[in-house]
Amino acid sequence: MSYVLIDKMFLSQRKSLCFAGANCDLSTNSFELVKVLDSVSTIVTGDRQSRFTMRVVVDESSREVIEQPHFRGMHHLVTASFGQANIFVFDILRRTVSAHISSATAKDEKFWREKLIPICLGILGPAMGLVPMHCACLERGGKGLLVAGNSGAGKSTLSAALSQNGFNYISDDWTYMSQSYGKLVAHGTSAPVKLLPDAVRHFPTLRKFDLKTSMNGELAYEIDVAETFLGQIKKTCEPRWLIFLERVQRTGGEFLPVPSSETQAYLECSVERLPTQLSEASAKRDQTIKALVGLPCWRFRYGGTPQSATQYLHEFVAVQNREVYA
Amino acid sequence: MNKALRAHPDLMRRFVATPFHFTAMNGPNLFAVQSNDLEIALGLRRHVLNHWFLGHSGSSSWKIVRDVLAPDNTDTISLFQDGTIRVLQAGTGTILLYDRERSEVLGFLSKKTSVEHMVSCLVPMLMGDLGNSNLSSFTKK
Repeated sequence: MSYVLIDKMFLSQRKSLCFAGANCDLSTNSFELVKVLDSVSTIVTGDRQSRFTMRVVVDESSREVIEQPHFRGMHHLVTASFGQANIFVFDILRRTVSAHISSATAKDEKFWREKLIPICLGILGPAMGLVPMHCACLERGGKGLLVAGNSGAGKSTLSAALSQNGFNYISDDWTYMSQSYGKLVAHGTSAPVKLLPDAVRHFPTLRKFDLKTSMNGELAYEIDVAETFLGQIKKTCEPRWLIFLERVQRTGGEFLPVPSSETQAYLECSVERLPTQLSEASAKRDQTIKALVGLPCWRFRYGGTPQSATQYLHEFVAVQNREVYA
Repeated sequence: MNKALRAHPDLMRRFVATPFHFTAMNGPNLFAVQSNDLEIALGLRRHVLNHWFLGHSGSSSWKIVRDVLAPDNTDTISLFQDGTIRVLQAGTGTILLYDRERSEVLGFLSKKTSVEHMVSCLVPMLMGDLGNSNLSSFTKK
């Protein structure tokens, strides 16, 4: 049996960090981990509401690598283990993450950037007024376009195509929504775009990459948008439009307005249920959802290649901008 | 937008129904247990009546779920404490969480972990002293 007692006095490495608009007070015994997380962090904001504490003990003698994740949660506590050597405990009420990890995990930037930070934001986000939303987010001219849709609708493929065609990439799968001074803000985590094997039809350059098994067991290409598609990555934007993506057989594209009641129903169903112990977090989240429901919303039905869909979206954004200035 | 497609599965098993409830009183102290497994609920109640009330004061609330979906490799036990939260993990699938401040014990028991093992071994480990509590060290084996 082993036991780990986290004593703050011995976590001598301290750093203030920021992920997707949420400030994080890190304490750890590992300088390596501070370096890794600092490289993932954005500039710390002055927002005291969106703040959580992370205490990580790194076992320098352990070299065990990350294994398949196992998540369980009850009331305000959630655990995530990645094998016996890597355990994370999330306390949503107290907004803390406590962890005991191996030295190999501490150095694994990809794990923190692509898995652990999004997991932290997904679990603790609601307590900080941050709503994890299952949608892609692109930005053009300072205005954000949220692209929602069921799995398989083509959010990631379209995000990749848009990032090659004049849109800045924020996220392709999970976007974190918050409110700052009454404005909605969409945050990404610079996670790679995840493209299913058949995306190679539209992006032949993917042939030089290997398929990987992602956290949900799917086989996919995990691609850095900036390196592979020479796209620009942005961390945040102010969302202006919400689009529900729907693939159809016939070639072409059309935009149909979506009533706010339908948007609300979609958003409420797509966020995770929270236990009754987290009623305050639930209320904060409802406020952000209410702001999202106020966005102009369309259903975008399209058939054909993702590259052709980008043309429709360019026209759509141009028309919307003209209407604003008219 | 099909509602069934949109609904999120309960991946963390947060919302497993726990129809078996028991409560017991010892003076002003209330003990409440709930579980999805009658054997767990009865075993905990028996343990509390015979042992817990003798050595502990204050109320406590327990919710333990039999987790048949969890992996069942119960060879290693690890105990982890940060402030008021203590976590015991046996293998991957058995996880017990103790929030001292809120007097709550929450957890999941994998298929192979017996109720007897839980009450006689895991619960005392979770709630007992951490041996010689030399707080200057954060990792002990």
